[in-house]
Amino acid sequence: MESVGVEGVANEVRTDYESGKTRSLAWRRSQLKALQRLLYEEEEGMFTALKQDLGKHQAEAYRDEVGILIKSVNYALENLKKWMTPCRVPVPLLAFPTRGELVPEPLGVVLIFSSWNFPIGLSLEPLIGAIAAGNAIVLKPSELAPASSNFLAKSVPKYLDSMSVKVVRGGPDVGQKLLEQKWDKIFFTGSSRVARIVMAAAAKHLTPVAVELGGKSPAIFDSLSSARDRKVAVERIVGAKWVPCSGQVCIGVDYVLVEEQFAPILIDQLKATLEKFYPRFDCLSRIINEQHFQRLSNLIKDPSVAATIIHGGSLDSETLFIEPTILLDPPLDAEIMNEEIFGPLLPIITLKKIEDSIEFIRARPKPLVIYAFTKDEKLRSRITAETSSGSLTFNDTMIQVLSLCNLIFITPWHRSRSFHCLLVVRVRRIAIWRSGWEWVRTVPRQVLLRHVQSHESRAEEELPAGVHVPVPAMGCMEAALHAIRLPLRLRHSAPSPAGLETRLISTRSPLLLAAMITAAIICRNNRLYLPFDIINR
Amino acid sequence: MEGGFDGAGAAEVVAELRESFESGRTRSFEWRVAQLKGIARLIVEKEAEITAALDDDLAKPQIESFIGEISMVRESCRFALKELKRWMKPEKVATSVTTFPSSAKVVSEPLGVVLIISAWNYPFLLSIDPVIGAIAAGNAVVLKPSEVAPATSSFFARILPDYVDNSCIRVVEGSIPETTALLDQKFDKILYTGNARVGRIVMTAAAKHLTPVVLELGGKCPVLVDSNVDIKVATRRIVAGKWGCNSGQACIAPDYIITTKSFAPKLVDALKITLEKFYGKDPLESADLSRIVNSNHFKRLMNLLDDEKVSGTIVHGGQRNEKRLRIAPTILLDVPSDSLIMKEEVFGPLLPIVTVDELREGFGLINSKGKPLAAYLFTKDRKLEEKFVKSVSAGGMVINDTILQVTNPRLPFGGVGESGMGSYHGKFSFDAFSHKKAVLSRGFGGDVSMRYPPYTAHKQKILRGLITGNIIAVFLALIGWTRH
Repeated sequence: MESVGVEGVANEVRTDYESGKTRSLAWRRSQLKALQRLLYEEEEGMFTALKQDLGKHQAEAYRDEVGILIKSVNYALENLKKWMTPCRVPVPLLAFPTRGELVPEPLGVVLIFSSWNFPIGLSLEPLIGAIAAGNAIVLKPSELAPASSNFLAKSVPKYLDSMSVKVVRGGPDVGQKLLEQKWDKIFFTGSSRVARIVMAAAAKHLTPVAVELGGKSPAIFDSLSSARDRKVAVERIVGAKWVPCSGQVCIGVDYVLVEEQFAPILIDQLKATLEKFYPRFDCLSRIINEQHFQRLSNLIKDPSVAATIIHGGSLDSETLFIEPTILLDPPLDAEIMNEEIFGPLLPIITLKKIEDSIEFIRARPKPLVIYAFTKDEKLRSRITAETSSGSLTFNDTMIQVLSLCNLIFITPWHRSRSFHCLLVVRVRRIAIWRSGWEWVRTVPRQVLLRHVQSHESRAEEELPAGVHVPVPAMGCMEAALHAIRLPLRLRHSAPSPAGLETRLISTRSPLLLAAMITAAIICRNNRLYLPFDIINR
Repeated sequence: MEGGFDGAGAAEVVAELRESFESGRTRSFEWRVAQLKGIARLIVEKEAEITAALDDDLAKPQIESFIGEISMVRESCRFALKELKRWMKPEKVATSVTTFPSSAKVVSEPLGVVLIISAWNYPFLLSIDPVIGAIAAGNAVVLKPSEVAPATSSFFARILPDYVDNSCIRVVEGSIPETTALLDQKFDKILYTGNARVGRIVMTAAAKHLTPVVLELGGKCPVLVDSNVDIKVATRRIVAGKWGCNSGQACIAPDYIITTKSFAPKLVDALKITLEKFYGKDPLESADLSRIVNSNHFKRLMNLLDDEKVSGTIVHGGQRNEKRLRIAPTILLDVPSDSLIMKEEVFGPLLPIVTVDELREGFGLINSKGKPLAAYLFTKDRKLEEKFVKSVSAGGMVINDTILQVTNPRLPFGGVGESGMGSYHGKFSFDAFSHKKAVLSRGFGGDVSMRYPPYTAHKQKILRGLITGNIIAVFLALIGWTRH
């Protein structure tokens, strides 16, 4: 794309943002719902694209990308109104009478660069945050995952507002031209080398940036007395090394630290787990391209490193396949122990005492995540207090991302505060149930969730509040309700004015209403067909 | 000023501080409290010297020094000491079904070695306030005060070491070469207060090390004045915010006024009366006005004033004394929008007034410029107030007053767009200099083999339910009923 093209896109999006359209709750909601539909309806397309780009198995694609996106978009929809509400701030007595407020406002036009290893997940996840915050967006997916890039270029305009959310395809030259434009925020996922280029370019326009990079994320493996615990722990380590994208993941386990006396137990368990997970290698993603394949081959080419391989090591440049490989104590000055591996090679470093792992980690740049498998409370406190990393997970791996909505997935960059950062993740407990009876009495006014089960874009605002039953289902429902109508004070009303095929039933029986609403809430995410809708105001 | 502080000197300072930080000394609650108490003592014991330095640098009236700098720092210290324990406590967060059973919390940890580059207009406040935040968060600090305020800079270099732990907190004096040498080093965070041009230089240098930055810049802070206001109170507040703040040399001082054509004459008259009441008939002699900081800035302001497009629009003031670097409070009415004074940040005692037919046109004018650090509106019309908050973007806003947003430690102080990024004050300072580490703890039970290969169809169905947190889907999958 020529620079005029890129500039034209940037200008179009900015003009659209200036119209103020993206700021309304209605627009943000409609875009998030459209994204929900995209994720639901285009699932096959996503699986195909990911299979093509990375040989990713469907289960992996769902677990690591699609499923997480569904969770995020649902969470954003549930909390959007709350996030948008200004929050009151106490004011010192001296300033009486004064009112203080924190008002979230969108930054403007946001540029999102995504990476190739989770090409759809890492593109749409920041998009969800940016839309929820009311911004207009230009998304540049990674050219190293062309099928996913094409998928996004095709489907995003189909579902979302194509004037405010644009996808730009291309390589580094397009990226460079995009960086010359002025943005109100840039969100970048990738390597620290390119992040420096992005930040330097952003500095010219004083554009704030959020950068999600990587690092050598270690797993500390303490002695665990129970064999079952060891099995679970090793499965989780394997689950963070080879299972996601064949090790090409920023929060994957890069290397393992273990006491030398326990190393043999660990290695045996690793080999056993690998055999269990991969009787054949068809569930394993492949390396993204030849350049990375070469990079990884070079890491184990050095004879002093190759000598430490104790499992695997075979390479196939035709299919870009590298067998899960374990190394025991490669030289610490080798490249494999200084560069982020980002591939299916696992060095195991042995230490005299497990506590030495803290020093070992501190001597190196701060990683994105530290994993520690231990039941020793003292060691846990020491690791929490004395090491620094983007995040820290005990006794498991990867799962902090699946718990995305409640924890912050961050580098030292993110602030968990307001919309000035795209991923808004402040959590507050909402106590809806003050007492069971009170809830039942007041639920029609207090239920914050709206459930409209429809595949057409129905204008919610046109339907009056109450329980709506699609007419085809009326038959048996009606018959059943007829029988109990009188005691339960049910009444029918005319078909809704929107001309849609529903009939409105109101019930003043709180118990029946409570039961129906509870059922609607439970089935909401499951998309099970329910013979009625609840529409609430 | 240390002679020959070059790259090697800077590297040495940073290395020493890093070693001190790595020793873990700065992380304890006791250490942080001791440093903050040291600063509190410094304010009490050296108040006279601070006031003298500010008078030296800016001819700042004593009351302004007290209200605008010393007492603000004291408050900041006191607030941090009071709240520190609470801030340092990890925050527990809710967990989801997907990771059941687990516990999750967010731990605030210090970033490491931070660099604070401060400005010349509030040289004491803008140096020490970020230092308070950095210390509260447990970091080691390098402070580089502005060389344009040399008395205050030298005060810090001489006196601060007597009150705080020198192995972790250092002052480096100097100008461009020294600052450049510092910026070449790797810091874990940089907070810069100053102008946008240098802000870009700081951020570009930070980019080499991927160092996050907080930039407190400036902008043209507009004041919209409606005709339905209590004109006496409004003008007093505008005058205090403009000339009572270092003679207009403040990032959040009102830069220009927008008002209706019909109201403008009344406003100008009221401003004149208030100015005379505050500063007397000869404001150049008034002891209650700061002077211009140096001859460079004096010349810059003269340039704005002597611009031929605006010289005919002066309706009040305009007197100047170059030797004593003083400019009288000056009001300009109906300046053309393409004049220099309407394009650059004034940062001085000149107040242009732009008139419009209807006040809402002012919104368009404000939005056509870069987002300012603050925007002010004087009105009794609630609807106008709401529209203002919705349509104008600025770092902060005040309705019916000026500059007070910085006195509230519970409001973040920072800019957006051209006026900066990041914020501080109160807890926001603590957060600005902390890394919020997510910590998730699990046990070994509750393992879900669905995560792992070999992948079967059955596993995938259950996985779907598990990821979206849907217990029902999991149950249904287990009994074989899904949406397919």
